[in-house]
Amino acid sequence: MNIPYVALRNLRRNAARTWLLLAIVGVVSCTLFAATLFLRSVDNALRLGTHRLGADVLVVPESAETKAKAALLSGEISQFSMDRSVLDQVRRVEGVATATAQLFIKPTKFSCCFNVDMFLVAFDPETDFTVRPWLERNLSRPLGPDEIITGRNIPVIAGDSVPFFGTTFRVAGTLEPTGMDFFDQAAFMSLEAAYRMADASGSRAVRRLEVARGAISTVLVRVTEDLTPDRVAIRIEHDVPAVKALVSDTVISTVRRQLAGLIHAIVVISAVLWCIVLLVMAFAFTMIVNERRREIGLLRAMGANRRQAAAMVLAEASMLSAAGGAAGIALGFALLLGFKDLLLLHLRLPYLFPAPGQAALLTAAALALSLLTGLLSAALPSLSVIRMPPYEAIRRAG
Amino acid sequence: MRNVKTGFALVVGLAAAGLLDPLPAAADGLKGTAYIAGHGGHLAIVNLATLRAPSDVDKDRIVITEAGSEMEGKVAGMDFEEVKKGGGSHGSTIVGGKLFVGLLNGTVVAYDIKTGKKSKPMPVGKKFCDATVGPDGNIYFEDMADGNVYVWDPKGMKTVDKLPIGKAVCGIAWTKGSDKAYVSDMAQGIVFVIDWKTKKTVKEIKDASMTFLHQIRMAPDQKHVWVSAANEYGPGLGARTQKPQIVVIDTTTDTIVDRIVLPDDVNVHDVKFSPDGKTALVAARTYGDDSILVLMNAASHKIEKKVSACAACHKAAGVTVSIDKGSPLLCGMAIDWKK
Repeated sequence: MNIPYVALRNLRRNAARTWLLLAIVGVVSCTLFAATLFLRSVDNALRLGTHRLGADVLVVPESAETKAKAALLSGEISQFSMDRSVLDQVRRVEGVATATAQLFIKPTKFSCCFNVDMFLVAFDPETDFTVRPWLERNLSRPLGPDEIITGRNIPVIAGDSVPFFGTTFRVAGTLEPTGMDFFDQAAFMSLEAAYRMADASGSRAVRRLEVARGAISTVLVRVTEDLTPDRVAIRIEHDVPAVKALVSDTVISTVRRQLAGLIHAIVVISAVLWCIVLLVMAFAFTMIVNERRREIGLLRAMGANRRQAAAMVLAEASMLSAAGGAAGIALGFALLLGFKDLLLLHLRLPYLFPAPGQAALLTAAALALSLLTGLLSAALPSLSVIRMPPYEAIRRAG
Repeated sequence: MRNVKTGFALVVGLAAAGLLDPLPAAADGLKGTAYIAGHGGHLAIVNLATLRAPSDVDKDRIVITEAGSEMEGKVAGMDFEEVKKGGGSHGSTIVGGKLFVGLLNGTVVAYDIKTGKKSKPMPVGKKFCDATVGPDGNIYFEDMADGNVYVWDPKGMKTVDKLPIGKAVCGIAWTKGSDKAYVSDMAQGIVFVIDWKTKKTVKEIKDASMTFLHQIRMAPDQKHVWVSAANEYGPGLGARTQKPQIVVIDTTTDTIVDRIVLPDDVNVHDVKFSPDGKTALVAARTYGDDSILVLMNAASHKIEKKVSACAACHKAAGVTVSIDKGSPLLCGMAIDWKK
């Protein structure tokens, strides 16, 4: 007996019911899959972004705490500065292993050529640990005085020329995507290049760039092994006046905690939906088995054994749930692609699609769950099929 | 001879009846002011010379913040129901004429005793138990929510450091010479012994008599610490299994050498010693309609006096306690021995 063929035929016999059940499974799969993929993408970006940043603690002016967090998490462009002496003070604090300065500059928009919200980050090539590792891996030479590296979302390629405040820079390379606008929508240059650009902007640019030589926006800190970042942050805030020390992990974990609430809600809703689907499918297959009592009895009388009869019911349920799951996954992908930007704009979160392997694993897991749903829902009806004596089945159905 | 015999019999009889105390009480002659922090967000003021129970709601208390409870919000990292959004005072210490009060929402308020000026709450930790001045002049706030001891600079009004010690720490005391510190963990019933040079835990003192702890204090002999083991909860925050007691630890051997078992209505939370070392002042909860200041002979452990810290004032003002199941709960004490 070709069980899959028989199962498929049975499904086709009552197309309306089949499509309805398929749709129910599809909706739940779509919800669960899309939500999981979205949250995984946000988490991916947070993880990669933190890794790329390389800093345990970010020291910013006390008044710029909110702006700094917004810049880090959602790439909101802002400009703030403090005196370079803060760097020396931070370096003297107990628990600071290495420290490097960065300067954030908010450029004017270039509506003719680059209609992208981007900002400039100037770093110290001697002490930097954010961009330098990339330089060492990909460029194998220091960045030139008129060169920049751009984030993945800036629509330029290596070799392009880009003007900022009257000074033209050549793009030396593009960073890998991180999902965090702080990197993906930034252009990185050396601090010296930034100061020279600011000095020359008075005569060259439409708008003068008001940045004093020696000004910095943040000090990035790596801590020693014997002290945790939060303890070093406390020491920095105590020893260095008028600064705020942001622990990278805390900033990220705050976002994660907020996400956790969302995840919890999604999990609860999905669990409820899944239970409903299970019950509806179990009910449907119980009805199906009852309807086909005579048919099953005849099949048994003609030689089909109990196992084959039960397998037929299970095969129908599996096919239905697998097809529904696949449709739901495809719909989930499509919805996520369509609404992702709106969600990110509203939630102000970083986002990076998981690696192909991870995405494939998520898809497989969603499919497996759909299949399991089918098998579980058909378990009881198939048991009743096993217990059904053929003669009784034919007699009662008549 | 007959008169001498009669007189002697009279003295013996009176002494037996407790009406004639042959020796002056250790608690006599105290001079100072005790500030006792409570969940109501205010500190009760007790004049130690008169030992008059505070009864004037304006003159006999210092209002710091709104009310709160220590068993709401986070305790030892675990979530409990939040009745109020923080508040409630719990422990305080005096530095330079100012009371520094650690609150149940992890903030610190500085109160100038002379002028009555109060600072804004300064965010430091999550939920404070005791506040103690350390050997370095900084104030050590023990956190019941995250188990850290926060080191706070009272001059710069800034946090200096954060020491991760336990899960719900409540008190700290140092040996003479500051080679070791002892930190009590409320919910775990553990006293951590810390090597003060390295700030590392070198021993954990556990005992069946310590299930729920509060403040910890170095005794006047500088050789023992007194641990306030009120034991309101049993192991794992379960039902009570032990009587309230003060557990005495020998700091030379780091072992328990004595247990001063207290009456059921003396749930000890803080112990401080008079300058002459003869009197132990115990801040205790009754879990009835009052909390009390108990004066105990430090040598004999005899309770000599009990002073109402809450009820006398509440009754006079017609106040009904609405939190903590209607019982006014106090915790830490700060004592100004100069006035």
